[in-house]
Amino acid sequence: MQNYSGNTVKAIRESWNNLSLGIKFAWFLLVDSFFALRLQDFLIFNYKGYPLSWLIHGDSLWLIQFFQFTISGFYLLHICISNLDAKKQSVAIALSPLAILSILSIAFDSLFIGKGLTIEMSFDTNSTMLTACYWAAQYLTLAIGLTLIYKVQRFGNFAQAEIMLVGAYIGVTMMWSPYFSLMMGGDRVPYSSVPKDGELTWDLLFWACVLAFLLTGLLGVILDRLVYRRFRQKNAIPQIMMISSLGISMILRGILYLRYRAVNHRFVTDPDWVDLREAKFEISSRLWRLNFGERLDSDGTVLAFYNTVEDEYYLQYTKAAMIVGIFSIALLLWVVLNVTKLGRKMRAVADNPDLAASSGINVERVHAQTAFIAAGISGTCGVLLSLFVRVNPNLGLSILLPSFAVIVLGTLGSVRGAIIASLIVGFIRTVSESVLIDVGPELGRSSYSAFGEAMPYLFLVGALMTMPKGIGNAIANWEIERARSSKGTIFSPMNIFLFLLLVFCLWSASWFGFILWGIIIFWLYLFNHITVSSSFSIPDFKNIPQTPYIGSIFRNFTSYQKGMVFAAAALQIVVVSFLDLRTSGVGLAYLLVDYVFFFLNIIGLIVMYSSIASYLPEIRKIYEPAKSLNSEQKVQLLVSGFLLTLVSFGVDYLVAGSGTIYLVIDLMFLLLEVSGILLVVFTLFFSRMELIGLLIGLDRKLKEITEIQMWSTMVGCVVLTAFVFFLDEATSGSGMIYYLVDLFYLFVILSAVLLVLVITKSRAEVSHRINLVLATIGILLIYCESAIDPQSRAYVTESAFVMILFSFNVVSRFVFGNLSNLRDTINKNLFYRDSTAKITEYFNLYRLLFGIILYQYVPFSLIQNIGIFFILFSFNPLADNASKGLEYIQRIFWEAILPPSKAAYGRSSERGSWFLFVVFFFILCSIAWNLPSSTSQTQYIQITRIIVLLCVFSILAFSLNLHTGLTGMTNFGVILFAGLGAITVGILTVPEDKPGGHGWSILSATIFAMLLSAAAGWFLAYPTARLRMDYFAIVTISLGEMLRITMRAEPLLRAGTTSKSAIGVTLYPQPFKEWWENTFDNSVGEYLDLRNAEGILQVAPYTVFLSVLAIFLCLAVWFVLGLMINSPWGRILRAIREDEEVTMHHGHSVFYQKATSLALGAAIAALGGALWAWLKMSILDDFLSPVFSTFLIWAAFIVGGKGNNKAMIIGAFIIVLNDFVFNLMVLGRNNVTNEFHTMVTFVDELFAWLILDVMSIFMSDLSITIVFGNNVENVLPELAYVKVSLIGLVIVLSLLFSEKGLLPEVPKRPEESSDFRIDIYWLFWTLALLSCLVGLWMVYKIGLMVGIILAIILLALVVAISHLGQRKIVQEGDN
Amino acid sequence: MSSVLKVTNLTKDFGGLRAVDNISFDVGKGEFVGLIGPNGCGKTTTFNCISGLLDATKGDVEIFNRNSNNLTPDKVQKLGLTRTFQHTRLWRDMTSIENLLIPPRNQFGTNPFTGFASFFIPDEERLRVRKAYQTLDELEIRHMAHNLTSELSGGQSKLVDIGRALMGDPLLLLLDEPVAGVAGPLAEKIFNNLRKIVDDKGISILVIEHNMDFILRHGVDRIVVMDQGRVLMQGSPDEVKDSKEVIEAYLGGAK
Repeated sequence: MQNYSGNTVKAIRESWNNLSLGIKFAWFLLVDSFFALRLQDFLIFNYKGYPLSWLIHGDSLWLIQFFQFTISGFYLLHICISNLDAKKQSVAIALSPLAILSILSIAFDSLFIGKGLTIEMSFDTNSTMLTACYWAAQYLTLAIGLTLIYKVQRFGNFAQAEIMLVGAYIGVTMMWSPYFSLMMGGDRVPYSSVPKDGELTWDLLFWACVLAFLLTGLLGVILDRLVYRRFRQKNAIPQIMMISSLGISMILRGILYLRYRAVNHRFVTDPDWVDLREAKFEISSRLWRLNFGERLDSDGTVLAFYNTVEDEYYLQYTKAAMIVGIFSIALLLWVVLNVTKLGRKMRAVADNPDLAASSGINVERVHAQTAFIAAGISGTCGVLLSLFVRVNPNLGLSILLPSFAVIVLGTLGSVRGAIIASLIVGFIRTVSESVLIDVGPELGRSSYSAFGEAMPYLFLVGALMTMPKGIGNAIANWEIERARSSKGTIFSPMNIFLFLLLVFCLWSASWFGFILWGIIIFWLYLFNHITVSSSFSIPDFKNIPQTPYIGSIFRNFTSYQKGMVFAAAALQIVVVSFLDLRTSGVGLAYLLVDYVFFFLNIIGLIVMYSSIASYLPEIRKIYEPAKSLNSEQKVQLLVSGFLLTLVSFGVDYLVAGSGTIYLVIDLMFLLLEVSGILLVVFTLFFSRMELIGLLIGLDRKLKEITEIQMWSTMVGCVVLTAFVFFLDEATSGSGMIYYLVDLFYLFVILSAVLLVLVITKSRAEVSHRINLVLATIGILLIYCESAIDPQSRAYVTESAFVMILFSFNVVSRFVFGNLSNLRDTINKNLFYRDSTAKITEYFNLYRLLFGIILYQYVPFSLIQNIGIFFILFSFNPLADNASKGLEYIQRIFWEAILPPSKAAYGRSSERGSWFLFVVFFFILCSIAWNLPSSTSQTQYIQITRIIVLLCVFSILAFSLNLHTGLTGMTNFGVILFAGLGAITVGILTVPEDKPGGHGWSILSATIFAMLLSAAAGWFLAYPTARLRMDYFAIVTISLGEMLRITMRAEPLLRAGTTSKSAIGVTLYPQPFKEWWENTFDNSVGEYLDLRNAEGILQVAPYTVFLSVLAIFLCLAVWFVLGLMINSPWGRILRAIREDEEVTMHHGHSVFYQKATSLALGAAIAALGGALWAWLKMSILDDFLSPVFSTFLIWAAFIVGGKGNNKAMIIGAFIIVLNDFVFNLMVLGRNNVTNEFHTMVTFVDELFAWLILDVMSIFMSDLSITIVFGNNVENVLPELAYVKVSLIGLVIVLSLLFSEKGLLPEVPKRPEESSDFRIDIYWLFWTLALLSCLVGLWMVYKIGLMVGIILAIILLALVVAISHLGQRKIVQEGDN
Repeated sequence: MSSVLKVTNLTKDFGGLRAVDNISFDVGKGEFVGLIGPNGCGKTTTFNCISGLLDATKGDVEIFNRNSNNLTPDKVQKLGLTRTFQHTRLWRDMTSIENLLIPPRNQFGTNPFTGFASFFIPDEERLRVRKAYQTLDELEIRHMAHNLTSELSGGQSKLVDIGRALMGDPLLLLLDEPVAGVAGPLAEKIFNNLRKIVDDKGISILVIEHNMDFILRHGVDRIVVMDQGRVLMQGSPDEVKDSKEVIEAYLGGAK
């Protein structure tokens, strides 16, 4: 064996040299930022005078240091984890939260020490746990349904949020309905105004949950049938279904807004619940205080790192009901998926629909069932959510996005992962919110608590770096690993016990518990390695990790020496800690001393650990003889262990007192107790073979019994258990004797265990006769109903009995069998079959029915006409002929305008696409021109606004098209890059005398913003390039949300207003504004003949100029981008869209191409954002909400046609015009002369009819008056939400009926050409000249140096390009 | 003859399953080698390990004397290798001619800036297009040039796939069942064509083929036979034809 001791330093140096540059740099950054944070005055790398100080100063300095520290720390952690082997990796990942926490706390501590602040963070244990559960429940409301849909149908369903809200509103509407209390035997009043009686009833809650489940489930099935099934039949990709669900969610949200307005409502199931001051649990709890920064009290006494005090926590009943309800639904779904036949079918369909279909599963029915259950669960969760959270139609989206993050975190499609992830995120959100509330104000950022909302996203992005497929996948992999090494699942009784113990320890903050937990873990770890690697024979300690260098030295020591070293190390730790406590103070010297102590402590720990590890051979010496004991000796050992523990505990209890001597005695007893416990654990481990033998014997017995014996055993066990319970109830009392009796019962309850054993043994037998899930639900209902609801008339008991009845499979089989027989008999009837076949051959019944309903029951002639149209087209031959005729006309049309060889391509040929573009553009232009306006001035303002918005939307759609249409990355974060651009331009251009301003010129700020955005896009590729499409979508939308939240919270992202609380950039210098106002506005006003209402000539407003600028920018982007995507680069992007792997195999780096695509698109989007900001003049945080931007741009992208930039302009035009038409309709409501007046009147009347005449059939008057007021005149639709619905409808319809959009992508069909002349070189030289001119102009505009440099760069670029191209052509020619 | 592809002790595990078990073989310059074996014997996994799609558990792959372990597929392609897939994977929403224009090496304009500039230097692209049409001519599918590849039949897709592989001017070509689903005469023609390419241009080809008779008749230089993850034997077609082991491996189930 080699002695390493002399070479240690050398070895360390060598291993340092072997590290990669990135890691070294990360270490450097870590150390640098650590000192920078700690010593705010004296900085090494980022000291105050460093080269970038003109850019980064003030608050941004410590922010950057903080991020430098945390990010480099995380990076090192990531490297550490990814370099471990698989087994250690899973342990390391499980422990990584601790590492992350310590990194963050060191960062905080250093920052506060550097700033000279003292921060006290306080956590209430119970409050933290329960609030974490509350947040988790809130995320789970949607996450369960989303996960289920994802599992089976494989797409992220945006509409789930609105379905959840529908459920919530069903509850609220039932609350307003007078009939419910009538049904319950009360008066005919709304349930919320039933007088208080001091008793909580659950009737309404129960029935609201049931009804919401059924109705929303039905809604889910209808949506599935109408929309998603069609996509499944077309084999549409998940992206399409995701976007169509976005459309549906917009429709539903619009409808909910129209019906319920944007007012908050809460579901009150019983007036007694309202009084939240009384309806709550009181829980005693503990308050933990962590002290950061200068840990000194005012009078000089030292404060500990933490201290705890007693505390109280109040939990409202409603909150508790919400938490318990949602979690039990989640658990129930998990059980259903894993146990029942339906769950098996769902998993089969999820795995492979085709295979499932071929093995006799009706796939469509399973899809429908999934849709029902997913929607129903979301609806029920909505009811439960509205118990505590006030619902409004906007709530859905604000829960949806974090829920998406949660399900991605927990692996898409894994219910278990979703539950765990929601708990983790809930916990982190709770903790971080309380941290931010404590920390924020001290750093001058009282708005930082808003960051709590960002936690799911932050955590998502972080976790995807370590676990690219989420938590559920990590657990599943771990379990597979364990199953392979035959260690069973992680949900073994031992692990659950350990987890519960840990929770208990955390709860009660008991140190002894922690120590015990650590000891058990240690021994388990030891045993695991023994049992796995040697299969019970020779223990092998090789797998215990050893500290390098030190461990090998220790191995050569004698056991006496080891003991001495161990003791010395322990002593060192104690002494150093003691010294540390004594000498704590302030100042640099103390700091150094602190580090010395810290270092010494760590050394002590390492030495201790190593000596324990090297003790293992000795433990083996104990272990070997103990193994050969006979079972009697083992039992004796066990009993003596128990006794030792018991006796020492008892004596300890008796002699407890205070003073040092007692402390010593206590310690001794502790030692004795621990050794007793160890003895017990040890012997239990030794005699496990005997225990297993016992179980095996029982098992064999159970296998042999006959069926009658089995049932009789079961019945006997049930009776015996019930009897024991009865006796227990009867004899309960207090006193020692009772305890003994209780103990006796405990043993008798073993019969219950036997029952469970029998059931598991003959599970197939039992489940053949009894549906255990139904039975359990029924029994639970009966049990809970009597416990919570003594006065119920809600038929809970009755329905529970029905459930139990149907849980007997004989009964249910009889009932359903007869029903299906009946159906079969009807179907077998020849006459019936023939006639239905004939009818369905000629008529589409659904269309007919829909048409008749429209014609018969709607009192509006326009809609009646639509009804007639439907009735006509329900006649199939007519519909077929009409569509054939339409196709014929199209063909003739294309043959007329296209050359014969291209006619078949129609819209997707180059010329056809241009032709249609011109036609559409002309139509839309004429609509825009003819929009009504009172004066020529307002008309011009309107048109210029339309133009600017059209250009903004087109530019953003170009960016989206580049990312999604060409590269195939589903980017839901368009607004992320646009917002980045808008905010950067705003902050940089605001004059320096205004708060937050930097006073840059607009041009340089815009270029900088584009570069910044491009860099962000490039770096986004690192974590996301390998992600699947849906992960990418959710990551991008999450980043957008993070930017929104950051904008709300971070004062550095504000500019323009003096008030400190103002959010956003409220002042935008606009490009060339002064120049415009000084020169042209008068003459242009004259030229355009702008007159106001009095007929007086007006100057042309700035938007006229802005529209010209916008057109210029839009055309420039279109042209440049067009050239780029028509080049080989664009072709490669499209290849990546089609198949990444193959593209890689043909020599193109997917990462690099995705990164360039992301960067270019991001720069374009930043330009669009800046342009938009110049129009809006101020950017608040709701600018970044995806509803007003990203979703609209997606609508433009879908309607126009993905992959085609011309289509982006058409789509954007449609969306923008839609917006303006609705704005004008609002104006036209009260203006009889307005062109839109009749249309608005029609919409208003239709809406009023729907609400007052149709909905009042099944909704109470209260539900109308509480929303719209008592006056019937006020029942008006808010047109903004009609618009939202309409856009959603357009998205869904265009996806359903013209998936490729109005102008489909034009596949490139290059022709072979015979001439190779360098004929476009004149263009190249023009470009060179132009670039010189641009350079000169820049010299004139922004300064000599920058302009010259830019011009040189441009020229060099052109020359280099021409040179390269020339050389290549020569080479090709040679070949 | 120097070897262009050298596989040494290659092993690939999928969890507990050993798909490829310690195999070694090499392909010389200008050699036409067949890789045959029954279903599931690890041929395609071997291809995946060579082309960088999978990381081998153990062993080395050398391509033109450069170790290609831990290289991503695009880096491996840069060494001069091109492969095809067993299930034809074309870029489906692009035309056949476009499919052929992506693989050529050293294209000008594969990033946004040069892409922008390439508009002003159209001749490079014209040469490429001409070459692509010539390739289509050779494979007799010029009439499908303007069709989306999702509209092609199975055999035509195979042909476009081969054409696409040839467009990359590979020095070493790995073909995974190139003629499965192609009509007889055309399949013969393709193989004869491959033979001609090997002889004329001096490139090397490693081809997986299921149909043993077929490959024996079509003039490959050497055959590597795999069975259950191992190399059963290597040798000339005649040696393989007479080998007892090979016949056993192929007809093993019939006994």
